[in-house]
Parts: sequence; structure tokens; C-alpha cells
Amino acid sequence: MKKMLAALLATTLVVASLVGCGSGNKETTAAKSGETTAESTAEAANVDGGTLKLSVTTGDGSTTDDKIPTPWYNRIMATNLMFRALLIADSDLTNPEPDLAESVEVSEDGLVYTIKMKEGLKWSDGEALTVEDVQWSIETALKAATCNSIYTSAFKKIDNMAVDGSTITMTLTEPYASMKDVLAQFAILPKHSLENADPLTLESDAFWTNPVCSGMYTLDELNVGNYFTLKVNENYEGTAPKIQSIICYFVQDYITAAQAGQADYVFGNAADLVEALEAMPNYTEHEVDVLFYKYFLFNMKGADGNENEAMQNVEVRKALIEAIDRATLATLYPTATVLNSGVPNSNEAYNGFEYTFDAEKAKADLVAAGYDMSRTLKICYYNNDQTSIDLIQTVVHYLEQTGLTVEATLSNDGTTDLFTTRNYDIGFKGKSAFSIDEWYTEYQSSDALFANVFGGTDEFDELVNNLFKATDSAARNEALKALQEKEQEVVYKVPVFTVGTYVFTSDKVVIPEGVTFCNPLYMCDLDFANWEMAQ
Amino acid sequence: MGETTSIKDSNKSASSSLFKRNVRKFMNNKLAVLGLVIIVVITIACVIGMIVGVDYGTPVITDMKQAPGNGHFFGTDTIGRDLFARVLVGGCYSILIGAFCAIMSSVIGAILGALAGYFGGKVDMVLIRISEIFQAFPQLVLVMMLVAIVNKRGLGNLLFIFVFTGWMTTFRMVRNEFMSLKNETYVKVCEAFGMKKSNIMFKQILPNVMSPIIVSTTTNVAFFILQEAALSFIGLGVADSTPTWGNILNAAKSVSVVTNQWWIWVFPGLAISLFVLAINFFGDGLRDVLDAKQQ
Amino acid sequence: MLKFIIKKLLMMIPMLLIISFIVYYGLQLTGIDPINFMVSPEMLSSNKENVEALRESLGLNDPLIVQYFRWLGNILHGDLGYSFDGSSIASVIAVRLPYTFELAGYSLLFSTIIGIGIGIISAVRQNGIIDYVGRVLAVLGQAVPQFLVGIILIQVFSIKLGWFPASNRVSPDATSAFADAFFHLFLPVLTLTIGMVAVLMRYARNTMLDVLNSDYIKTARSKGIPEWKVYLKHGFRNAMKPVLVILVFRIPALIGGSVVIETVFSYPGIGLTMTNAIVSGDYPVVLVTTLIIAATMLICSFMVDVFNALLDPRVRLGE
Repeated sequence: MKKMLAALLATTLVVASLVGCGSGNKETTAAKSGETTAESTAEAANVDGGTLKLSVTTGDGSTTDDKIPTPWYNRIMATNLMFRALLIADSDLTNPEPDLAESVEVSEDGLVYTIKMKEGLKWSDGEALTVEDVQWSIETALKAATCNSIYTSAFKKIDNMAVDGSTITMTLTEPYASMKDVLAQFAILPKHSLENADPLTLESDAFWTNPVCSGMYTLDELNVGNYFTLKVNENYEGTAPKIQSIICYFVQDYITAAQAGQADYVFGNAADLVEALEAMPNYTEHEVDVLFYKYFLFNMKGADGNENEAMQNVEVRKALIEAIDRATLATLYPTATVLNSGVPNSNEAYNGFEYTFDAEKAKADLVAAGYDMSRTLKICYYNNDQTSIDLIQTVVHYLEQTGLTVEATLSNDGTTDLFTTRNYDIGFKGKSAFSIDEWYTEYQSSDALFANVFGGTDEFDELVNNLFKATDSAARNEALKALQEKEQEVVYKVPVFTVGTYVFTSDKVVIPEGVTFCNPLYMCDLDFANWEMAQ
Repeated sequence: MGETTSIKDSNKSASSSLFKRNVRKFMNNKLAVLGLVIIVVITIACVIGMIVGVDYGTPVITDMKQAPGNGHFFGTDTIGRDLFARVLVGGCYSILIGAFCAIMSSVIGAILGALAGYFGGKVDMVLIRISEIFQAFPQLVLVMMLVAIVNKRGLGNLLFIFVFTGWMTTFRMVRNEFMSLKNETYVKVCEAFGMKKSNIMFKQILPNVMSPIIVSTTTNVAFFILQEAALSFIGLGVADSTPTWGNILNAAKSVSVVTNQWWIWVFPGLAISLFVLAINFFGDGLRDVLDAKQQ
Repeated sequence: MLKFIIKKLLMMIPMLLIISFIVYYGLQLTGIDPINFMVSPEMLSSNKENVEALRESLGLNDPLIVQYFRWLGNILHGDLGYSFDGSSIASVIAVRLPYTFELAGYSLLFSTIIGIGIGIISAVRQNGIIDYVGRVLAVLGQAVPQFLVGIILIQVFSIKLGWFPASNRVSPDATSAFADAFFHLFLPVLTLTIGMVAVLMRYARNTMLDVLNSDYIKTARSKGIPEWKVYLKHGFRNAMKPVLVILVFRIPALIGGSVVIETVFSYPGIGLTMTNAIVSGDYPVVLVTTLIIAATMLICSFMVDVFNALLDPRVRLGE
């Protein structure tokens, strides 16, 4: 019996010491395994330029592991290498240079776009890539169910498109200042393979198991549930890339993938991911300047006119925000910058207003506003990473401090629960925005998603349109200031902070000088042709 | 009437001496005693923690991810809540889940098993089929449906599902015992005297099946605690505002917690493992004492 | 006997029907609207007539019972339908089911060999080293939550030591199919085996002890038959019968375990598919995976019945 107990104790200790403590020991072994893998890749590199390893997460339920994810929703590294746009942006996602297009001319009044395509472009299957594909892609994106709103809100402004030889002319109903930036993100898809597909289910068409590509790489093999590999696209007209093949694993989480050597490129903003990767000596960190908003939105009124009684009083909404210490919440993230409107505090257009934290005042204000304290306040959120869960729990705690009864629900399907079911008072959301403009488009009465919670009010429409039309910075700043005043007056949604995003690259890959990473959910010029595997 | 009382009395004294003998036998099994001690100590500690009202819910973000020490016996979790308090209160809920579900599912299993075994025939067939249907259901799907229907990830859901899907093993066992016991002479005698069927089933036969029921109830406590942890891990457990060992241990999902903040997962993990271990030891001891076949 | 088996098999059909109906009805009660998954919320509010037309054409306005039988009819025709993200469920299942069978099969095999092996050795050499070590491991394997065992194994063997991959089932750079399978299956199979071995071992040890103490073994010994022959021929054979039954009983636990373990190891099996479908509310997939699991469970309990009947003729007479 004693022997048995002793053995039990010993086993437990051994396991605990193997996993938990002994961080010094850990580093040496990690470095060792790094060395061996580096050696083996170096060997391979001598033969064919090496293999880059990427990972795609499927753990959050947003992507499935039996096809290539559509580039019309999020742009990720793997699909960026397979599908190109007419233009390609710099790391700020602006100042686009020609890519598939040879030139894009904009008329003086900002209404007519003349796009001339490069000659002799080919898809990976040998078919010609023409203006027909461009026209089809833009028209289909407007009908597609899964499509990023930056495309739909821009393409809605297109009045007509005329095709002539290798030139396409788009006429807009009104100027849209960021049209070229949007075109630099929008992946052109092959009409000849997809024209018979239903736009509503385009992202699940069989095409995505064997796509026809326009980028440097094309699909080599898709192994459902496990990985897909990319090979160099022979029909790519630009400089051939040095890396000959890419493996993209379907994984449940990035940290394990990185630690197991399955990802040479990883990105994220959650505290645990950044902390874990910073602790790995074989990864280089690149901080990326992105507008990733985390924000609260109040469930005001449905498109059907159904009001949420409890949230109608603007003083209640203000008091709820006063009760939350956003600066402290920010410390949950590696870098998070508190802001008070869609415009970051550091931006010259910021109007200087601040939501301050004052628990006592919040308490008094709630009482003064006549809020029924016995009512349960409902919070709905959908990110299931540990940092988000931690954040919401802290928010619940803050609100409870003012005497409220609070219930937070983790939604399985954020879009449905926030905009269709609407069984909540405060929603918590994230948005990796393409630009500040995207924050304000959510207020438009034509935004069918947000019209479901803001009641389709048109009070912002004119102000937002002024922003779209503003071509010079003075007009733009003015438009932004007016929008900030308005949103701080009505308090429909309140940003908590923007979170800093990080890209990590392993030491198995050598990135050329001068490359700056952009928002990893969009596309920019990373000079990928000159990336190399370490020798 | 007088005679029956005296039989009862003699039964009583016989059973009390049997009880003493059993206790002695149990005390000789040191592992089982150790198990019992651990169970009692952990349960009492958790209940005291709950009664004293340790602060398990206040996040102190400036204190997050503190290693053990500095006023935090087990350290703090990812938003600076005291882990010791959480493990204590979580223990209350986990043990509650385990005990409640084990007892309830045994009660249901025993009643249905008695009915099926005693009456046999059609009743038996229907109940057996029902039990097979329940056994074939993936628990996960039931939990998901319930969460979606009542729109809440509450403790009640979990208790309901566990009881709902957990009674079949006891049911089978009790049914089989009843099948063989109902042909015993004493049952026939009772029947001949015109005793009520419910009396025969629950007052005469059931006491003879109690031992295996008690043993399986004990080990089921451990089973349900582990089950709760597994459901929490998949994200279908109790909402995080109600701490359980399972959802505290959930932090182990985050790889960086596993490698950098061992205390966040080791302590709840140890609590679960130790408690389950103790129950298994205790259950083994009980089986040795109570199970007639082993004697 | 044949009649008994056929009767049992036929019994499974109404049970599967009942289960599928309960799940179908339950999923309807959850209020998940398939339309929300097919059409973007923008379309939903801006294009009400089209959405209504789509709803009508999909038959979503029909009475529940009509929808159920239509779905069932499709299944019987081999059309498993489409998941909310548009993939054909049949093709999803075709890839993933074999992976899960592989995982569960090897776990069953190894836990049986190891469990019974250690069980017998510890019964024969009671209180020896193997007895102690085996019992300690068994007890631990039962007490530590399975997913935690998996996480610890990943940390130690794939991240610290780098011996095994931490996820997936197939990798593109494997030297051979066998090596690929071996390396990817090792850790998840080990995790499941650790969890399963305990029960089998205890059971095998106890029955073996019972058998060894029984009269006919004593008789065999007294006849002067060599000790190993006594163990193998008389002991083992008799001890195995009840152990086999327990084995089939373990399959439900194995399936439950593999759902969790597939999540831990990003193993692309049916369990992971089901978990992801449940988390994202993709109920056509939930329905089909539930049916598959239910059918497996029913087949197992059928096999238990058949085993029991083979071992104990009284059961057959009782029916």
C-alpha cells in the first residue's frame, strides 16, 4: 500500500515537473528541436528553395477544413498568394500600385474609373484573365452572401460598367474616396469556373477544393481536414518566387501550431498568443498598425421598429459606460489603446471628448435616469478566446459594482444573436477595420446589419456621405469631427479600445529588407517573391 | 403482529453486528480509509469556504497571473481572481454536480430497474428499449439542444442532462438483480400473503440490491465530476460566473497558460484528480465490504 | 440463435427512427433558422420577399412532420444533405469517419492488449512490481481528466521533445503512409488508451483472481499440469469471457472520449466535426453525426446482447 502511494506521488511529481516548472530547461530543449528542424529544412532548401509552413485555424468555427477559404471575406496569407486584385496596396492599405491592372485612371470629379488590364494575363489553368473576369467578380460580389462589407458598400456606388477590349470603365453615382484602396483588396475570381455557381453559396462551391488561381502560387494538393499545399503558378507573369512550395495546415490553435513547428507565420492580438510567441526565441515579432476595434453596441431598436425599452434613455447608456474602467480592461491585451469614438485619440481629427470612469457617478446617474435596478442586464458576446472571456467577466464585475444584476452570454453565432435574435442589452463586438470609414458606415441606415439594432435611423447618413466624398484631408477631418460629435451625443456604440496586432515569423524564413507587415486580414505588398527559407 | 416485531428486532441486532463487522473490515482497507478522509476533508474545506464567503469573483486586473504566495495561496487566474477561493467554491459546485447527479440517476435507475425486473414482459421490454435509446444519445448533442432552447448555460441544464442520460447502468444492474430475486421463496411468500406489489418491490427486494447500488452511486460521483470537466472543455459546461473545477481547469485550453502559468491549471487539475482518486479508493473499499460475491 | 439475432437487429430500426425524430424535433425547438446561415443578414432585412420565396422553396414552411419524413427519405436515398456552409455532408463523413474508426480501433486494440496483459500478470504475480506500477497507472489514468492527459502529452512529447506532431492526421512531407499514421496516431491513441486501460485491467485482474482461486484450477494444479499451462489454458480462457463483454461496453465511453480527444489533437475525425458543428449551430451536420454515433452505440449494445447470449444460454431462453 505504501509502495503504491509512493509510486503515485512520484508519477505525479514527474509529470508536473516535466510540464510546469523548469523554464530554463525548457528553453534549451526548444532551441535544440529548433536546430534539428532547421537542419532538415536547410537540406531541403539546397534542392528546391524550401517549404514555407503556414496554418489556418478552424477552431473558431469560422472556416472549415475541407476547402480553401474564400478571399472575399478575410484576406489571409495563403489566399493572398493565390488570388490577386487589380491593384496592390502598401502596408497602410493605401497608395495602391498596379497589379492585375496596368493602370487605373480616375476622372477629375471622381466619378469615372478607367481600368486598363495588363496584356497576356493567364489563370493557372491557362485560360486568359480578362476584363470579363473583373466585371463578373464585381457584379457577383454584390450578390454574394459571404462578402466583406467594404466591397459591397463601395461597389453599391457603381452606376454602370462598360467593357471595351482590355479596358473597363466604371461610372459611380457619387464619389467614393477609398475606391482604389478597396479595389486593391478585392480578389478577382475566374468567371469561366464560377459563372454557374450560385452567388449565395459561392464560398462553398466545389471550386474551392480545386481553385483556379491568379497569384504566384496555385493549389497543389488539398487533403481534407489536414492541410493544403501550394506550388508555384507557372502562368504567373511576375518575378517567380524563391520559395518553391507552401504547406498550409488546418489547426485548432495557432500557439500549438507554432510550438510544434507548423507555422512560420502567425498573427494575432490575444494576450495568450502574443505572450506565448514572445517567449519563443525562434520567432521574430512585428507590431502591425491596424484598426482593430473592440466595442460595445446597445440594442436600441429593430428594423421592424421593435424597441428595447430599457436602453432608450441615453443617460442610462452613458452611465453604463461610465461604470466600466476601460483603461484597466486595456491591460488585458498586450497593447490596447483606449479611444472615445471611431477616431483614435492620436489622430488629428480626434475631437477631444472622453468617456471617464467613475463608478460612484455611474451609480447616481443610473438612479437619476430612473433605471430599474432589479432588472437583469444582458450582455452578449461571441469571441471565445480566453482574453475575451476574461474581459467580459471583468465588465460584468464592474457593472455589478453599481448594483446591477448582469448576465453575460457567450453566443455560438454572433451575427444571428446580435442582429436577428437580439435578446440582449449590450453587445460586445470586434472589428478589424479597413479604415476609420468602416466604423462609421455601420451607422448608415443602409447598413442592413446594424439597421437591426440601431433601428435604421438616417441621422448619420448625410455625415457619413460627406466622409466618403471628402477627397482632401481638411474636408475629411471636418467630416470626422461632425461624426464624432454625433456619435457621442447618441451613444449607440462605444469603442472600448483598439488592440494592437502582431505578426510573428519564424527564423526558418528570411524576409527581405524593407518589408512592413499590414493588417493580416487584408492584403498588401510584402515582396513575397523575395522571401527565402533559411539556409 | 408481535412476532413480526421480534423478527424485526432480531434482524436489527443482526444487522448492527453485521454493520460493526463491515466497519472493521472497511477500516482495515487503508486505501479506502484514506479515500474517505480525503473526500471528507476536501468537501468540508469547500463548504467552509462557501459559508465563510471567500471572494472568488472579484477580478483584480493589476494582480493577474500572480504565482502562488503573496496572500494568494494558489496564485491568481488570468484576471486576478484568487485561485484558492475559486477552487474551494468550484469544489462545492463540482461535488454538488457529482453527488446530486449520482444520487438522482441511481434513484431513477433503481425505480425503473425494479419495475422492469419485477414485472418483466412488456414493461421490461419497453423500459429496456427506452434505456437503450438514452444510451445511444450523444450527451453533447443533448446539452447543446438544451442550451439553445433555454438560452442559458446554467447549472440546472447540466444537472438535468446528466441525470437524464445517466440512469441506465444502475437500471440494468437493478433489473438483472430483480429478475433473479423475484423467484426467491421469500418473494413468493410475500406474494401469497397478498402484500402490495410496491411493498414487495421496494421494501422486500430492493434492500437486497442496495449494496451494489451504493457502490455504483459512489463511483458515479467521480464519473460525473469528470464528465462536467470534459463538457466545460468543449465549451458546453456551466457558464463561467458559476465556478466549477471543470471551468476553472478550462484555462488549460490556452497553451500559454499551460506553459507559463502552471498554477492556474495544476491546482484545479489536482483537486479534480485527487477527489476522483479518493472516490475510487473509497468505492473499492465499499465494494469489498458490501459486495456479497466478493466475501 | 439466428432468430434471436435477427429479432435484435430488426429492433434497432424503430429505435433509430425514434432517436432521429427526437433529435430532429429538439433541433427545431432550438429555434436555429437555416435561412440565417444561407443568407447574409443584409439580405435578410433588405430582401424579405426573396428570402420568403427561398424559405418556401426549401420547404421550411411545411409542418415539422413533413419536413422530418422528407429528410429521412433523403437519408434513405443516400442523400445526407448539406451543411450550413454548403459542403456535402456525405463527403465530409466519408473522409472523417475512417479517421475516427482508426483512432477508436487502435485505442480499443491497445487498451485491450495492455489492460488484459497487465491485469493477468498482476493477478498471477499479485503484489509484484508490475502489479503495483500497473495499478498506479490505472488509478491515475482514471482520475485525471482525459483532455488534461492529452494536453500534457502534447506539451511533453510534441512540443518539448518534438517526437510527435501535435495535430492533424496526415502530413504532406511524410516518408511513408505507415510512418505518417504511426506518428499522428500515437499520442491520441495513447491518451485514449490511458483512460480505458484502467477499467479493463481491474476487471481482468479480478476475474483472473476469481478463476485462479476456483476449484477446477486447484484441481488442474493438483494434477501436476505445469504452472504456465494452468494460467494460459484454464485461467486465461475462462477469465476472458466476461472481459470480452466489458470490452464492448467500453465502446460508448470510447466514443465520448474521442470527441474530446479529437478536439485536443485537432484530429479531423467525426467527433471534431460534431463538436465544431455544435459550437457553430450547424444542425444538418449535428443530425447526421448524432445518427452515426447512435447507430454505433446501438450496434454495440446489440453485440453485448449477442455475446451474452452466446456465453449464457439462459438469456436466450428468457427472451
